[in-house]
Amino acid sequence: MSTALQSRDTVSPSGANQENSRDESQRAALIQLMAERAGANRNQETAPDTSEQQAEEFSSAPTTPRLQMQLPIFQSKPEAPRSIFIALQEWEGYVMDVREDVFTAILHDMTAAGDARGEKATLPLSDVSPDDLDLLREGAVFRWSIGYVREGRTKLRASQIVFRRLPQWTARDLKEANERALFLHESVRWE
Amino acid sequence: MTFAQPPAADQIEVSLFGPGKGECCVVHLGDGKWIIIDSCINSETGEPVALDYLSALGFNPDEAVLLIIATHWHDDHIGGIARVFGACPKADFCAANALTTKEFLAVTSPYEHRSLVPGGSGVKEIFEVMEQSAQFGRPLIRASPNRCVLKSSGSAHGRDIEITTLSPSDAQFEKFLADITSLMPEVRMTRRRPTPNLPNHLSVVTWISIGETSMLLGGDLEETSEADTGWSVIVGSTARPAGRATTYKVPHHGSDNAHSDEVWAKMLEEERFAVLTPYNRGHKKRPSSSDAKRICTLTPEAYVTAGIEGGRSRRRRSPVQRSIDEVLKEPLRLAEAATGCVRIRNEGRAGFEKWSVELFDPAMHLSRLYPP
Repeated sequence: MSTALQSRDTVSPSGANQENSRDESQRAALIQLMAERAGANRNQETAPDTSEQQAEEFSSAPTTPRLQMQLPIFQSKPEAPRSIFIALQEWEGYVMDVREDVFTAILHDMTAAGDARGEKATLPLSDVSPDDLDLLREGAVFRWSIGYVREGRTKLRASQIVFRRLPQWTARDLKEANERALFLHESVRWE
Repeated sequence: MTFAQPPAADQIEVSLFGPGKGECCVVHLGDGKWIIIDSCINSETGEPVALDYLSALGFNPDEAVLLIIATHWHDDHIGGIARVFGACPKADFCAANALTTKEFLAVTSPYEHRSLVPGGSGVKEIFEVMEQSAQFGRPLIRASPNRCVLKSSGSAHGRDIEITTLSPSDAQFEKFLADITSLMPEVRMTRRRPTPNLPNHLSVVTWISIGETSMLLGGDLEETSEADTGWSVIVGSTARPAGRATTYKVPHHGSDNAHSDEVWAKMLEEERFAVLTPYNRGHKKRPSSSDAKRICTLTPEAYVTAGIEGGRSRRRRSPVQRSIDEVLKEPLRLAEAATGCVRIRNEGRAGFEKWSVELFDPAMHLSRLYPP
């Protein structure tokens, strides 16, 4: 699950009903604490490599922007308009090269079975969230989504590029990979 | 593509296919025996083009393929080569010597281990070949300078066959290992795909001699300014096979960084065929317009397997297409053109030095790649 939901579990394990009885100052403190935690998590280059996260990464479910996933937590009573992103088209891509104001990427259609060759796009850096710019490099993986943001009765067409925070390589990963390399090195016979 | 007649037992054929996540060259040595250099995926069938082609001509890859050579290690250049290896159990497999090292395996193994990257890990193919090799006890052959990797005689055409790798040199080997350490993952580093844009120090160059006839298949080897790497070390070698080639698979998609005047002057016949595949996955298109012009001045017989640009992507429904058009300055396109083929055959015993070219759509003469 998202880092935001983990934060909520930590701060308020007993659920939403208890939240209703808190006074405004408690609510403000809670919101500030959660915002700080969510901010801290966003500032990490990558998310922690937990099994839950890996399961999420394998999922083909559309990527929802982090901010939008946090919105229900910040939702105050009475109901404020909720922003919901409805994806109409999504690609997953990897970066081939980066230039001054654009990057070239190979895209794979995640919405409909696409051509096996993939598609090639030159995307503007201005469409990448500032938070994600440090992840932009050759080989980096991202999701490009086109759809609508619905907020109350307003519906806006939107395009967003979200760089995937793939799991980090862990010491265990590298150890296993090294063992595999050694196995191949010793098993393959070269003439 | 319809390929019609298979070559006669005494006919030699060189066919180049691409693009398709790589390129692929198949060579008929005579008597229904073939070698395959690199691999790409047929954009129509999704299968390795070499297997499709041999089946279309009525050959069983199980029996017909003697040797497979991988000039590269990265998936973007050898799409489907593990399937080719699996389908050709009698074929030897030859790859660059540096791929045998613990260093290469240690650097690339983490990319393949539990890969979550769309379009594959980038090193899946070469790892699958090694795993098949380990599982079935099929030895692999190291490519190195001036190493004979296949020798045969007694063919219907009556000529001896010798296939020699001309690279990578020892210095290329060392440079490659130095380059690839930049890919070494570290703990807490975000997973990604290994970049395909490393210099092609390691590419295997292949020389095929059939009697007096020779072919030079340049892989993606780049030229350098150093005497012990790139094309210079090959041209300058006194140990390389004698003779000049009639057919040249132009290296690195005709790019100027792989061009060597000396190769054209010292290793190729005056009347020569040049064949190449285009590359369009990065922002640089290869060959460029000036590359195409340069090659066309060096031989009138220059051919390319396809155009540079992939076709326009299908139009999406209206709101999506509007957003695509707003975000992108250039239209969304398929990453590559459809796979085409340039086929060169001789006339067999009766006309061993007489060659003819066939182009299979969308292949074309190189001069047509950038119309004036």
